[in-house]
Amino acid sequence: MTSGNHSFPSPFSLTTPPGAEGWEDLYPYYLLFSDDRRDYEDSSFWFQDGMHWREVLYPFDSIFMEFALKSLSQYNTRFYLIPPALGVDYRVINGYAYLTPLAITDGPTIESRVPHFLARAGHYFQNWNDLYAKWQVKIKRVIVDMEGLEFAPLPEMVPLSWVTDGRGIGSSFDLMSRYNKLIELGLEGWQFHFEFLNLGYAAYLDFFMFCKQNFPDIPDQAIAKMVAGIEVDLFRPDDELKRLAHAAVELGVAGELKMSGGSAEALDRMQKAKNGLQWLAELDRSKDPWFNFSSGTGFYHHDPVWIENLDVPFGFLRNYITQVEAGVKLSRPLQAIRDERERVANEYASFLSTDEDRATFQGKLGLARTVFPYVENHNFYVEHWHHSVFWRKMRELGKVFVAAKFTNEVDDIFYLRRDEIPVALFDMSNGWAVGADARGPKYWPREIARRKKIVEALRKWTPPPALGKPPEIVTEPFTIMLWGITNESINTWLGGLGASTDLKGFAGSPGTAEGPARVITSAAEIDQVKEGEILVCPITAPSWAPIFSRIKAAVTDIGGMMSHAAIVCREYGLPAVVGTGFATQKITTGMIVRVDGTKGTVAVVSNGK
Amino acid sequence: MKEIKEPNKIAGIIFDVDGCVARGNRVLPGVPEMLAKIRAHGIRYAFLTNANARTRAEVTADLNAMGIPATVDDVLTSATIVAETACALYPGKKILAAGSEALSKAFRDRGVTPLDWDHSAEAEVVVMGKDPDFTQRKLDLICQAIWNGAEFMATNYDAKVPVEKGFLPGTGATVKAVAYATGKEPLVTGKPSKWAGEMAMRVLGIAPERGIVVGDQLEQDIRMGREAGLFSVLVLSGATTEEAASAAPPHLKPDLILPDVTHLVEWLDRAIAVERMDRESPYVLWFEKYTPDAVSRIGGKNASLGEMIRASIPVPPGFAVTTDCYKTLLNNNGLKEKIDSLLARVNTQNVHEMEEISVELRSRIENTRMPAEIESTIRLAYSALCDRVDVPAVPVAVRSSATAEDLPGASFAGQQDTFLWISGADNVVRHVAKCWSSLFTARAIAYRVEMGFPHDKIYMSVGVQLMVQPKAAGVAFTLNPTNGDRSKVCIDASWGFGEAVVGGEVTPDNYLVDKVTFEIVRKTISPKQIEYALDPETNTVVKRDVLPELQNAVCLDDEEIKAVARMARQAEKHYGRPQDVEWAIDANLPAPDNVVLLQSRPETVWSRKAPASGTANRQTGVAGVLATLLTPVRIKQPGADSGSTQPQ
Repeated sequence: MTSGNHSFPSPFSLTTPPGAEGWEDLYPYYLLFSDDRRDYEDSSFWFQDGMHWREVLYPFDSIFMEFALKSLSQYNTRFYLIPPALGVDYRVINGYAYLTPLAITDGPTIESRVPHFLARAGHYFQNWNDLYAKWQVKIKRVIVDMEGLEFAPLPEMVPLSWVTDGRGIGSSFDLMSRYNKLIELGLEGWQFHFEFLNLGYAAYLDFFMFCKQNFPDIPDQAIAKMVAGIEVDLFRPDDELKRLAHAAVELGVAGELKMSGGSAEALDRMQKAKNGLQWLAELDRSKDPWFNFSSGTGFYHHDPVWIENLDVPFGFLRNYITQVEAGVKLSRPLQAIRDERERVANEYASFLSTDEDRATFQGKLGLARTVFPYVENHNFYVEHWHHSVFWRKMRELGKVFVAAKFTNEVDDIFYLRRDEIPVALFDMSNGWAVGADARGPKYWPREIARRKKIVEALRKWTPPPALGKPPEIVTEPFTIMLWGITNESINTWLGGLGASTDLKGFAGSPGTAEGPARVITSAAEIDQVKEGEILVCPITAPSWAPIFSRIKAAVTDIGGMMSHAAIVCREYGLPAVVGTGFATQKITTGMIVRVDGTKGTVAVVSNGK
Repeated sequence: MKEIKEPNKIAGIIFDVDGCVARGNRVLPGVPEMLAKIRAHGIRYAFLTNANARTRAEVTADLNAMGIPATVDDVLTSATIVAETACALYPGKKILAAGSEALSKAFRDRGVTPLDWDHSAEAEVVVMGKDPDFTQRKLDLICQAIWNGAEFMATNYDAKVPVEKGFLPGTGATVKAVAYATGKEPLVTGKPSKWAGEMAMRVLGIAPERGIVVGDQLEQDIRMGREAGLFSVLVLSGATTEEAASAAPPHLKPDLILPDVTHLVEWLDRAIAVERMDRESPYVLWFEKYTPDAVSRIGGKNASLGEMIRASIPVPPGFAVTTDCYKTLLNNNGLKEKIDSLLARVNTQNVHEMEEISVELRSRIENTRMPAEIESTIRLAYSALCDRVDVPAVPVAVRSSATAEDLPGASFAGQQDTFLWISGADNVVRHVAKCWSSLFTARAIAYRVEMGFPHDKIYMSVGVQLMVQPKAAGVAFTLNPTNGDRSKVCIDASWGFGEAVVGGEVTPDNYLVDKVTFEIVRKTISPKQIEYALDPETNTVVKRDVLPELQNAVCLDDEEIKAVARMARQAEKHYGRPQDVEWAIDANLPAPDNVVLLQSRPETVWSRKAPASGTANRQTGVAGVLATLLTPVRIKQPGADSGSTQPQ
């Protein structure tokens, strides 16, 4: 059978959904499939990255897709010279993100990259902890710099002091320059993101492959268990909620939090309650920085962030308080987790046939454990903290746009491409400087209204999981580790185009469960999830952790063994099947489904109602 | 069945009366004789009744009239109990005894004078019993006392009592009236409350762990016994059928069921004898009591079973008949001298003559009467084994386990006989003798001569072990035999005896279990057409078709699969190398004791291979990462490889 028989649709065969005509204007020219690069684009394999960009991209929001993939690629290609892999290229079609990994197949080229890789990657592996310590300083500096950027409407006149001090530069210049600085800091953060991650995944993959080779049937989660960190920053926001729940009960203020109503009312009651101020001090301790935590992936401007939407964490908090009052001790048994990690590793090591193999096992495990804290923690610093400050600052700028009547709503600014904003800002500056009307107030509201209709039309379109010709080999470590692109997933996607209702995916977390499905496609819907349901979603975000005490199992469309869903489910001891490709399309809320997280299968038992 | 821990320390027995030792006003047959024997054992007995309108003396007279030997001290009524309880709970308090004269008397016997009705207002405790002269005035006074804060107790809460023509209202009728008026519920101390059991023992002066309660009603006698922590015996001579007894919920489960009380002495004697045997008999040793210094008394084969039990590997239960039995036998009736003189004639060159000598030796051993104490000990141990699994005449394997005086570990494996499916004490005793005599098969004699073992320094122990009657059985490797992966346990399983799997007569189910996490990695279910099973008629194993609905059914559930994997892993850990284990799930033993190991041998195929590393990429650090990155993941197209799991 030739591969030609098993292909996904060509990107050039897709048509524009009705009402979305002109969607191409919403994205930079280089993100579009085009005749200019058709030979390359038509011979590549493109998969829809629903793990990070499940929804239609707003014109501005393509920023972090571009920054992320550009940065990822830069480290493969130009920093560490991963011998057989270049970067991951990306396009947008009908508003959705598609990715393709680029392999190097030519022997001599691979060969020539090897010494560079050894020197460069070797340096990082050898000095990992020192470099990681520096990294934490660097990323925090980026966040602090970002926090320092202020965006305010242009004043009637510049302050007198600017005149008396001889500053010689106007307010509109500051506005434009700060926008540019914000974008730069966004890109800086993303470069730091991948400074370590590619190598971290590669080192984990090395240990993973060694385990698979020596213990062919070893469950993926057993490997993860040997490597996983004990105190993980990504779980810290959830741990903080647990801490606050215990504190509320101990201080006798649980009642204030449990009453109905939103977080604002709860905070109000707390101000007056005995010990209330003490609890609020505890809350402040947790909030900065741990509530800079997105309920989504953090890649969309509208993903709710805890610190700005306290209703979200307070909802979880209520649930935890109920548990604390029922006598449950919420903190994780760290010593037991640590001991179990050692037991599992020592037992597997004992089953190797030679001492040499055991030494190899320990060596690879040691490196995997060295790199893993970064792999587990970086997400909090970049996608959550760094992004939440970034989006906050963008909304400040959005207010400037509203004040100048360029837009009607604060969030309308996200319907502008990032390259259009400096142009609009200059228009605004011009009007301010000249004292005549800028064109913006006439131009942008109309254009934004048109774009909103297009985005609405694109939203109704269902992107196929992949486009083009499946590759014969995959060498790019992310593609395997993070997106889980392997034989099985590609064949599942191909097979999934048929009619069967049974789904296959990765065995993300062991165990089986049966129950009613709850299909959730965006972070805003997570409060619909009820006790005992099976969560079916494109991908879970780590901040959804608290609902994991309610659900029986999780199923995702996209994801590999390192995907957030798999990590969180293992942490919570729930069965999970990840990377099924089609779960949110094939399953509807209320269907009774059976999840086998050990085998990686999901079956629809009945249609429920 | 629960075993009584120290039957020799039993000091007191409480009997129920009706349905237990008497029916109506007639004593049940055999009861006086039984009581006499109990007394002869130095065990105190007493009768406990919920009646309280009659005094202890009156009840005693009734019993004596029926021919039941009892003194006043041997009779406890619910009045006795309530008086004892009230004095224990409220010492020194003023008590209003609202009942018959018998109730007041019970208090006076206890040294407490109850208040008269004129002083009822002073009552600190109101105790109600059956009062033939109950009046509205008494009701008023009782309620007043309770409203004033008095504690409220009652002998019992029975709604009605059966009489010849129907029923009469019980004590409970008036007690309920008071409870209704005051809104306060009484503390009821009669059967089946724990107070009845505890206070009865207190009156008799016996610690609860040394007491037994015997009765015919689950809801009364057994419930009280369980709540008071007494060993509880149900007799089927009264209100309860065998079916009802076996269907009893856990809190009403008797510790022992007997047809009637006359069996009590026999049971007690046996329990005492078994306990004494366990403690002091030199003739038998339970496998689980094995300690390494016992090897010379039980032989290598029995020792290895004991050793496995000590390593928490579940092997079927059983006991060793020690070499002391064999030695005692030889020293009896001049048997040893006869054997020695016969053996002196052995010439290994003369096969024919050796065979004759062997036959002569064996028949002498088998026909020599076993010393009575040895025989009775073997019978007792066997019956205790039957009790343990609750199967009468349970089939056992009787196996030789020879030992040499100077080489206690020597196994002489395969030299002597083993007998399977032996059932009943007579057969067990006979086959123990056959094992002894198998020390003198021509082959065994020749072997010893050849190896230079003196005949008189070799002794025989015999193992008597439960025959497993498997629901399902099979083999387990502590590695994956298809690829040598030592982190897995690979299990083949089919219905019935393991022979079908071992002999390759069925395609078994196959389960692959991770040894570290005990996850079931893979299950392959195969059609299992035939099985070997025990034919109860002939007590032999027969081959038969598996019921059609079971052929494609998985034969172990997940818990059983994991239990087999854990057991195989324990054996591997114990022996320090990969094992090939035969296992079974017994149909009679309760879970989790039903998963048993029958045999464990070293795995030979993969273990013998030179330790070849399956690892191409041995480098660590950046070089290892590089090697992994240079090993691309190849994407296969569907159809090129079906990827389905094939049974091995």
